[in-house]
Order: sequence, then C-alpha cells, then structure tokens
Amino acid sequence: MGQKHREKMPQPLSLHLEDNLASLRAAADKRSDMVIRSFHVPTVNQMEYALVYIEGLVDLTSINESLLRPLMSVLSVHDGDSAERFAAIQNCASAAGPTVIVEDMESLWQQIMQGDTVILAQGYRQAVASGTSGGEWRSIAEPTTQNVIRGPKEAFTESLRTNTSMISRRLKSPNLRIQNKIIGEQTQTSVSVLYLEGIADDSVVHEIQRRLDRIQIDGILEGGYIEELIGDAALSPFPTMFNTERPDAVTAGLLEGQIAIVVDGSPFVLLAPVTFFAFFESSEDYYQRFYIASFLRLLRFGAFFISLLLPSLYIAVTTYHQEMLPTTLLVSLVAQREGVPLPALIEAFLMEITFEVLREAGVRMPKAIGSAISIVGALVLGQAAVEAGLISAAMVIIVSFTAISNFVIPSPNLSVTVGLIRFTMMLLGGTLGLYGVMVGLMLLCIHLASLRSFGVPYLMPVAPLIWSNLKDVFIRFPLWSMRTRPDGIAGKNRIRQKKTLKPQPPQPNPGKE
Amino acid sequence: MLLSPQRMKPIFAFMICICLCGCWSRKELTDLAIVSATGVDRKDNQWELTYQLVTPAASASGTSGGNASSGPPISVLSIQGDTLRKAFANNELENTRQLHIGNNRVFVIGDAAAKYGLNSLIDTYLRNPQARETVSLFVTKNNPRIVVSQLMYLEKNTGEGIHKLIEKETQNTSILPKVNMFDLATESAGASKCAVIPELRISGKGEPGSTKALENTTTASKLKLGGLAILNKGKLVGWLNQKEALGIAFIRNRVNRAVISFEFSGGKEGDKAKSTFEVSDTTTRLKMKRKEGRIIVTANIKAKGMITDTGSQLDAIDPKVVRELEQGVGDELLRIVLEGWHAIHGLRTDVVGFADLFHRKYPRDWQEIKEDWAVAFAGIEFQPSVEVTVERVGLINQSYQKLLEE
Repeated sequence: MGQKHREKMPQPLSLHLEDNLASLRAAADKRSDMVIRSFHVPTVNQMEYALVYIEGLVDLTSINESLLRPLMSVLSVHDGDSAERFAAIQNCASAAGPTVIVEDMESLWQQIMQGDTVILAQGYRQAVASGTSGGEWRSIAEPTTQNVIRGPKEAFTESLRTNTSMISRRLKSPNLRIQNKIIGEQTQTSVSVLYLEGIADDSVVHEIQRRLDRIQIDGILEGGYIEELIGDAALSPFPTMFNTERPDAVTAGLLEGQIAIVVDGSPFVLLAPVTFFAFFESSEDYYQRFYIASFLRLLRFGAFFISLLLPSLYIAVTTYHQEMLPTTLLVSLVAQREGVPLPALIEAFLMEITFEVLREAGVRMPKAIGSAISIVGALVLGQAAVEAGLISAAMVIIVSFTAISNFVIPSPNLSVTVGLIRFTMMLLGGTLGLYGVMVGLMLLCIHLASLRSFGVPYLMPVAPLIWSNLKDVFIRFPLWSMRTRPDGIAGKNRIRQKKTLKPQPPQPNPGKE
Repeated sequence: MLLSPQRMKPIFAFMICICLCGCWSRKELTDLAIVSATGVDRKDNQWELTYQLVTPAASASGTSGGNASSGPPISVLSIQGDTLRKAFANNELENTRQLHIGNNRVFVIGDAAAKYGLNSLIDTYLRNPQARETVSLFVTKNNPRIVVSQLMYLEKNTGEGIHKLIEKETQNTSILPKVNMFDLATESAGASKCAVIPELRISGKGEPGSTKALENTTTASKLKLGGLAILNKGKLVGWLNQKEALGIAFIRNRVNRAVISFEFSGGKEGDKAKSTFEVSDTTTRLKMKRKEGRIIVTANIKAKGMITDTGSQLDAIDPKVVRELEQGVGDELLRIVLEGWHAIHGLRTDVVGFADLFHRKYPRDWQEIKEDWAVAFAGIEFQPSVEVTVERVGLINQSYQKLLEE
C-alpha cells in the first residue's frame, strides 16, 4: 500500500482558500485534533487567511503570541502587492520558528504532522509552514536500565531533538554531523544519524546511510526496528548493534568513531559498528580508577562464563564425570540428590525455566505487586521445593548464582542471548557430558568469529588480534595510556591525546637556579 | 524461507546426534555407590575385594533432607571372584548401585594377596580408566576386610581419613612414604624391581567398626600406621620396622621433616640425657664407585634442623657445645641409616634405587649384571656420612636443667 501511495502525483494547492481547506478536511476526515483557524483581516482587499495545525503537536502559546498576533497586526496595515504580502507572511512566521514554503497538499500534510503550523491565504498557490512544534514530552530522567554509581545521571527521552541536543551539549565539536531521515510510510518517524566527521570511518557512514535508505516499511516505533532491518547477521542471536540510553555512552562511542542512530520516540540510541567486547563495558569503567574498572571488567567476563556454562557444567560433571569432584563434595551432592525424583538435566531445565518465568513476570508485573513475586519466587519455589525434596539444594544454588551472574553483564540484550544459549549448553552437557559442552563452546566461538558488525569483525581486538586495542578490553588501561582511538573502528583521525599525559611530580625549573 | 530444507539439514543432523547418543553412559548421582576405600585379599584361591561404601546421608553434614540418620557413615561390601575384575563385576549380583571407584583414596592389600603378587592388580589399575593410579596403597597383616570396616574419630569418611593420615605423616615425620599405585608400578618395573608399601594395622581387638563404639572416648580397635612392607617383583618379601623405615627414607632422600631423639651430655663428661632434634631440611647425595671389583656407594646426608627439647646441660652460646651437639645428632642419624641399610641388605632387596644408580653410571656393565643384581647388591659396600647443622635451639639458649643448677 506504501507503493500505491508513492505513485500518486502530488496535488498542487489551489488558488482558493476554501478549496484548500476543503481538501484538507477531506484528508483529515474524522481527525478531530486538526484545528483550522480562519480569520480575515479588514484591509482594502478583505483577505481571508487560515492557520492549520494539529492540537497537541504544537506549542499553542508560540502560535498565539509569536505567530498570530504579529501576523494580524502586520497584515492589517499592509498595503503592498500580493508578492510583498506573501513575503510579509513568511517574515512573521519566522518569528515563531523556521519556515518552509509548501506548494502541494502532500508536503503540506507532512509539515502539519511534524507539528508545524501552516498559514494558508486566499489567492496563493503556496503556503507557509512555521515550525511551532512543541507539546508534551516526558522530561529527562535517570536511566532505568544502565545505572551507574558515579557519572551523569540523565538518560535520553522519547524526543529526538532533546536526545540530539543532549549529545551535542556534550560534544561541541563543529565536526559533529547530524543527518535526518524520515522512515516509515505511516509513522513518518524522524531518524537521525550522528557521527564525527574525520573520526568515524566514511565508508561505514555511507553503508549505514545506504542501509537506512533501503528501509521501506509502514512504521518505525523503536530503534529495535532499525537494528533488525539494517543489522548484520540477521539470524544470529547476538546483537550486532549496541543500544544505550546514556548520552555519555553515545558521546564516548562517537569519539571512538562509532556512528549513532537516534530514533524519534525511543530513549534508546543505537551505536554501530560494535564488537562483542563492547557489551561488557559500562560507561562507569571510565569514571572510576582503572584498577577498579579492570577488576569489574574481569568480573563481568567471569560472570558471563558462569552465566553461560555453570548449569551445563554442573549437569555434565554430576552425570558423567563424578570422579572430577572431590570426595567430600561428591558425597554431599549425592546426599542432597538422594530422593530427588528427577534426573539432573530435567531438574536443571525446570529450575531454569522457573527462573525465566519469574524474571519475565517481574518485568511485566505492576510495580506495586512486584515484591510479591520475589517472595513467591525465593521462598515458595526455592525453599519449599528443596524441603519437599523435589529439587536438590545444590541445584537451587546453581540456578540462582547463574541468574545473578546474568545480571552482571551490563548490556541487557546480551544477557538475554546468553540465557538462550545456556539452554542449548545444558542440553549438550546433559547428553554428551563435558565433551558436549566443549563442542558447544567451539560452535559458539566459530559463530562469533564469523560475525561482523558493519565490516568490523565481531571479536575484533582478540580475533583478529590487535594489540593496541587490547588496552580497553579485558583490562582498562589508565586513560593517559590510551593514546589512540581503537584501530579498525575509527577513521583517519587516530590520535586521541598528547603523549605525555601521565601525571608526574613537578620538575624543578632549571632556569631559576 | 527461513526454515528451508537447506537450513534445516544441519539442525536436523545436530538433533539426531543428540538423540542417538541419548545420554549414553549417563550415571545419575543417586545410582552410584561411592567407594572410599578398598581392601583386597586372597581367599580360597580367589580374590576377595572389600569395598568401603560411603553412606551419603549419614556422611554429609548439614543436608536439608532433615533425616539425620544415625546409621554408620560407611558400609562394607565383600565380593569374590577368580580375577579382580570378575570380583568387581560380581558386585552387580548384590548391590543396587554401580560402584564408583573414581574417588577411592585408599587401597589396603592383605599380606596373603601381597605374597601372592600384585602384578594383576597393577594391570587392572593401568588398564581401566575409572580407577585412579593416585590411590594410596597399604599392606596389612590383619584381615583387610576388618581394616576397611573400621570407623575413625573426627573423620566420617574412613578412606579419606586414612589418606589424610599417610599424607600428613609423610609430610611431618617421613618415616613411611605415601605410595600410590603409580609409584608401585614404576618402582616395580624399575631397575631393581623392588618397591615399598607402608603398613596399616589395627591396634586392639580388631573387630569391625560400629557407631556404638564411637560413643565412647576410646575404641577397642583403631587404625594405625605400622612398618614398611618390602616387595620384590610385586611380591611381599619382608618387613621393616619404623626405625629402619626412617633409615631407608634418609637413603632414598624422601625425608621432608623428621623427628630424631638422641643422647647428649651437654658438653660435659658423664651423664647423658635424651634430647630431640627436628629435621627441617635434608638432602642425600648418593655416589657410586668401583674399587677392586667391589661396588662402593657413599651417601652424603646433610640435615638441618632445630633442637626442640633437651634434658641435658646444653649451653648453645658455646660453639664448642653446639659442635658436640651436632656430632651427637649425626651419630644417631648414622645409626638409623645403617640400621635401615642392614635390614634391606639382609633381605637383598634394593629399594633404595642403587640399581638405577649403577645403570646410569655403568650402562654397559648393567646388561651383564642386571640378572644377578640381588647378588651384586648383597656385595655393595655402603659408606654413609652425615653432616648435621643445628640452625636454631628455640627460644632459650641454655637448657632449663642448666639454669637450675647455676
């Protein structure tokens, strides 16, 4: 249906105001939020005018005070010819916001839907659209998914302009490029592509533009649509674009040569190209001392492997490789499993699924009864199941530790992926033992190595090995030692900082001796 | 398109792989009988295996099962068969669970079995992947079945307890070495074909353990480490007592720490009193040479340590006294070493590795002599020398005895 729409010739505006308004009314049939304010100015030629806008999308005060009032007063004393009058209208409209001259119904309608106010006048085939967009947005609040202890506490909102402003406020460089696109036949969503000229790789910028232009869809409601439509490896469970609601994280990404995609209506901003290891970075890593940051990074990698492998290793070792356990541990595990009716694999599956159910319930639950879930989950399912002898205590420990480790991964979309792969690993561990777990890990490695995000290998600083990029992967080196931007992501401008930034004790000035 | 046959093929193959193997060789924990110690003996011309099985519910502390059963933490199962693995397989006839020998820590060999020969035992251990060569070996003069069924204070799992016992002993007093199946296999296959295994014995009445007995502060029977069994070509040929065993340990350079009591006069003529020297660091260097057709082995033993008690008139400030002290310790050490040497010399069993020494030094002559090494070994002249360094005398320099008399 988008196709049909496109083929239609744009309908030019009529000379008669009444005709234009009539076709507008026809287009906006049953749209009660469109407002048409007609007025006429008692001058020599009794001109008829009309203001058209959508209520709620516009800033009413600005229309009344900055647009309508000066317009009326200017027009009432104006006695020039028709072209001069039109220029006067445009002049007045500029007082309220940037103006655009529209000549057909199509673009007129588009301007109205963007929150502009269109001024139509009798006897013109043109109309002036004045940027009066406004209305209610959620105000800037703290991030809900990526919290930090130290660091900026503001998060993006649903408004595209607010979001880009939050980035440009942090990045005052004249090299910051913000390119707008309208995507979605019906939703007409504004999408902005942000990058730093010279720092971002030009070819990647072009590629992203090309892929964005390819999209023909009825609507874009969130960055997730874009991610799924332009991302690489469409069938992989791993995300090939990063999303964040933190302006500082986006700014840092831009400085490293990444490209940001901001979608109107969503507080999550996409960053690309991205590597696997970026999902283990939190913006707080750079706000804390590097020892702490490095420790936390390593901890996250540990938590990643625990969350991925712990249940499968437990199943594999307890059903195939009992001799690997120290005797005391083996005896205590056997004692716990004595009387448990289910095989370890089924037991683990049940508990993992129970946890996933609890987690999903926790997300969907109205906040007021959210605490009930944790009580039911922790007490009823955990303790009671153990006491009833349905589940062994060790399994509860394994599953809860796995679950907690899962939340250590800073990026929620990677942690969900890990949760999915965990089930496959458990199946492999339960059928083939440690051998199966190793096979699974191999397949995972092969898959990860085959991924690319906008031309950048997914496992980049590690495979292919780039020594200089390893400064910011497993261990976060001190800031003064990270002299260059990451190789392979950033474009031409590689140098980040001066060489000798490491703080030194002040040298005695030899000249004064 | 997403699920085209082309795409489904690998997924299908993967699923088949998983389904076909179908949890092959899966063993649930609750299907296992965990063996913590094994006894082996010869009876009626058959092997008799005794397995000490852990009762998990009684052994594991603090399980939330709730039933704090007061049963014994172990139970014992004896099975017989023509061969070791046949006996092992006969377990299926009477045990509901599969024997899990991966965590077996202790192997107790009856002296009848040890005299019969352990080669087939070593063979099964090397051949089968489930059994571990790191199991600690013991020889007992008692019935291994009774040994394995003993209970221990403090240790719920007796097998683990015996393992700890020998490990700690080897570390702290070094009289008996910890010998595992791998050591036995390599030593028995070595140049001299001789090996040692520590003895485990029951002191007291020698009755099977019972939890009732553990309710008293002393039990009628108890496990203890004894002497050292000497094996030649996998067969038991003789025994050493603990003092001889310590001497052998010094020659073999297997001493970590040792405690030696000796007599010392405290620098004065006349009345000698007992003192203790604790060896903290010792090395033995063996050298072999031939002189007029005779093989001479010299052992240079260097021992460092401290005096931990004395009843003598010791005055450690006087270097002359210290030298005398070192002399006293050295004499005692030499006596211990010679005692051990005489014992193995009498048995004609080269457990000290002189055959390897010879093989390395005179590789050509070894081929001729190796058949009759026992004879050659009997002709070896052994010349030990001892250097003792007293590094510390503890917190007081003069003995209390001396302080009293001043």
